[in-house]
Amino acid sequence: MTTNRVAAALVALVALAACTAPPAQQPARSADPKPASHPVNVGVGTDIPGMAVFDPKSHVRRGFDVDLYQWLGNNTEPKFTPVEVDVLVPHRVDALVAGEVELVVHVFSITDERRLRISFAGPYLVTQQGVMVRQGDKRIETIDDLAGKTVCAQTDSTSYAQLNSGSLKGKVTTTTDDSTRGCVDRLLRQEVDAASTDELVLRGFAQQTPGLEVLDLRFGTKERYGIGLPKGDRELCERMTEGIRTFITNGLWDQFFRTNFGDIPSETYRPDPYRLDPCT
Amino acid sequence: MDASQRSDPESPLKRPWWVIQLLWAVPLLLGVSAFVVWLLLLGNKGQGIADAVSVLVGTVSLVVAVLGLQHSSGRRNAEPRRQGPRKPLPRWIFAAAGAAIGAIAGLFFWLVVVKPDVPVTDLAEISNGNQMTDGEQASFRVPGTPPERRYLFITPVLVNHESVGDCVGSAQLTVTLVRDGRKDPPLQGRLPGGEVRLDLAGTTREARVLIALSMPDQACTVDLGLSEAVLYN
Repeated sequence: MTTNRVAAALVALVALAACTAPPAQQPARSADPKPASHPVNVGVGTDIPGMAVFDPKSHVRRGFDVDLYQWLGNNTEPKFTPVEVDVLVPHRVDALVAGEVELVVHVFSITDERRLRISFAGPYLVTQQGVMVRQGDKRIETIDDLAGKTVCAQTDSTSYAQLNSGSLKGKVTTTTDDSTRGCVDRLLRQEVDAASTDELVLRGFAQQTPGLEVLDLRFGTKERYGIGLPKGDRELCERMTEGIRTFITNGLWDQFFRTNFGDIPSETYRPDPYRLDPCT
Repeated sequence: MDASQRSDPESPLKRPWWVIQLLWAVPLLLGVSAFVVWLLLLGNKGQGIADAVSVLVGTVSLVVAVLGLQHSSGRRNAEPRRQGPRKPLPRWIFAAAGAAIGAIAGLFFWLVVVKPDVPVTDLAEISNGNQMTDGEQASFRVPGTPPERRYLFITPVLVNHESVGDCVGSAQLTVTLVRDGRKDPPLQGRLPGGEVRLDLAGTTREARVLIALSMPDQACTVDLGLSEAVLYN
């Protein structure tokens, strides 16, 4: 009886294998329709020259951040189609926490404090706090010269926090605006003495706006831009981190940097691809 | 084999009672062994899980034993008392004796051979652990001269007191054990928050642990501490 059962099981197994085995003349895999790339909401900026600018007339977005998320969409597995969702700088963390977006690629500095609520992949770009003044204004030449001056920084940004910490704490009169563009406009209107944010962002504004000058001053902790992710999504973090590593090592990082920032030397802004932050 | 054969006490095909018991006892022992190995791999966390599970298993065992006793005594009372040779001892007595011997042996093994873990988190005083910057090194002396157990388990943590800076998330720690003044090969790339296990075997006088900090941002300043330090065998 047992022998009969074993024989029957073997026959069934062979029959099943015959049914599921691929035919000898199966068409090539490339002939299969390409799997659809799934849409992913990506929080982006609209008004940061060099990093992310949206032209409402042509509906075209340009910038280093734009190049990065589009490249990641086409080159990470599974591929995805970025659906751009405009997010203001102060709302980036909340947009991720609320699930409005799955990624944020928007001059998003990785900080230990933000890591408490969200995760990051990166960094994909490293800069530091810089200072922009009106061209010809020689009152500020060192960091200490900021003492007693009125400096504008974006609301809820690390730039604002940096002006109020470390050696500058309590020495600078800080004022905020909802956007860096707002601070630049106030600087042009002579309402403030200087504008401060990430140095590379300032250079992008200076390239576009005559009459402004980025000083050769850097201060504070480094601004290491990362891709914001939902807290604890380790699989997504590892996928994005690997994508960033490839993006840097295959030379595209340099190519896109030149495209968006011209002849600004790129070495100081390029992170070490072999020492990206671990996903935890 | 059909049901009538299985139920016939005189059948030559009837298996001895201990063979039938093995059918459930062996898988149970294998499962428990795998569970114990997993607990050991978990280290200090495994101890907590073992404590909780032991309470549950102990309570269930007590309930099952009491119910079994009541059931067997009830059946014995219902059966007419037979005259004849002295009845052999019930099986539960052998089981209880085996369990008691096992428990005593286990207790002896745990207390004398393995020895309980010794939490030393509060005793490990870190020097140079405050306001650390890139490239700096902190250290602490392992409590005990020599330490009371063979292994040390630590969980280093870093705290960035500023609201800015990617300092903790990008930091790497290099942990070096120094036994009686001799340095062991360093454990590199250890992340803050990760568990580190150090083998203190052979220490005759003093063991120290050196923790070097590496951060890509020179402007970062963090405090180093230990969220957990346990000596164990």
